[in-house]
Amino acid sequence: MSRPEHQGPPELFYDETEAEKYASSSRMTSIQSKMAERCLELLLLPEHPCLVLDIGCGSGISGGVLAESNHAWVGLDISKAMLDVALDGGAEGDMLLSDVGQGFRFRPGTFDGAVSVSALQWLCNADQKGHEPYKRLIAFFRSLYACLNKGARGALQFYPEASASCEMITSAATRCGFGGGIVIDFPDSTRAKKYYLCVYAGHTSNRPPTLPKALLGNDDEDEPTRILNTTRDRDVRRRRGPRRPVKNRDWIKEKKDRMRLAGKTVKEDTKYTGRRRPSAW
Amino acid sequence: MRLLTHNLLMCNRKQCTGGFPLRIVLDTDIDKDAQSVEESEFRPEFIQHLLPKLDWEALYKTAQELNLSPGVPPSYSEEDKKDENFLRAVHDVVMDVHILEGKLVCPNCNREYPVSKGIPNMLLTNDEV
Repeated sequence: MSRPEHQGPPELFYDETEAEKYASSSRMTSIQSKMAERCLELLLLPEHPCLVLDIGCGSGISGGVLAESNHAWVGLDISKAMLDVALDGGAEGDMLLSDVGQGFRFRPGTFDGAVSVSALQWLCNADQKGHEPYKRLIAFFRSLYACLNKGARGALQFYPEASASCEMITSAATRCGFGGGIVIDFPDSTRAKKYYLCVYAGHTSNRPPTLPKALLGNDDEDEPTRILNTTRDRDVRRRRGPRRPVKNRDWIKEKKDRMRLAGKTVKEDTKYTGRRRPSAW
Repeated sequence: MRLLTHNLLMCNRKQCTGGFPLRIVLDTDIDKDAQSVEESEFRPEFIQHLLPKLDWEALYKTAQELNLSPGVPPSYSEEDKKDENFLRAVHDVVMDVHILEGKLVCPNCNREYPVSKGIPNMLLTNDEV
């Protein structure tokens, strides 16, 4: 699978055509909203409506999921085109054009949680001269830690390229004071496997510092994990009775007539025509 | 951008500390609306939880600068938190007023952040990171 991060920096990759795909493709929308729902579940938000930060909000699909659960959100994204799509789609939250690798500043302790769908892997790339992925991750996590309130969590879904990028991300997060780790959903599946970085800025009594359980997908009845091996119905194809000869006496006679009409030299029809030869012995 | 987001946002420059609240300069020359009011669903519970998060002084100042009538009172008491009218007034200012065109200026370092179509551009140049 080609990785979009390799094709160019996000502000150029997500241009009008790419942003349009996000607005029109129902498949992308369904995958993204599923991941956003899972992120929201991992946040363990309190019952009342909360203020959530959406990092890499893009066309506002994850924002839609947040709004459905009655939470207010503020989104950050680097692509102008994607934000325009979000505006056209009537996104309910506020959006800012911002490069999270440069850091962002909100008043400290204001957000109750942070979600991010498929954005973190972009920070692992150096797209410009002077970009250092680790430094940019540090700037990001430092800003995130500052704007979350005590006990707030961040659930950041990402596609790691290698185990090294996982390590880089977790080490940057822990260095900035976050607790937590990576939750891998559906670890046995190649396609459904998803990585969520679940981090918490301190902890409170109703949100203990334990990682949520990963989904394993064993008892998931919506999607069958394997194709049922149906036995082939051989009986239908079984012959009834002995095989009928194709080239019988009538067929031979007809062919000889056809050949005569075509002007070929054909032997006369006799009582021996189309008869089996006697066996040699 | 709602005034809620404005109330949370600080100057993004690394060299600048305490750049809050950003001054709103509306773009009045263009023929588009620089500021709009969009009605949204009023949820008292949400506003109640939002109150401790708001910087009230900054919100009051901004509402005054934008000439929002009736706006919000200069301060509020514990009883106000349960008063539906007060919560409604806060909701109207914080959730319904949108800044569409203009710029945000840092009171500390005078860095300008342009706002277009309601989206503030918080991108920094390489020397500001």
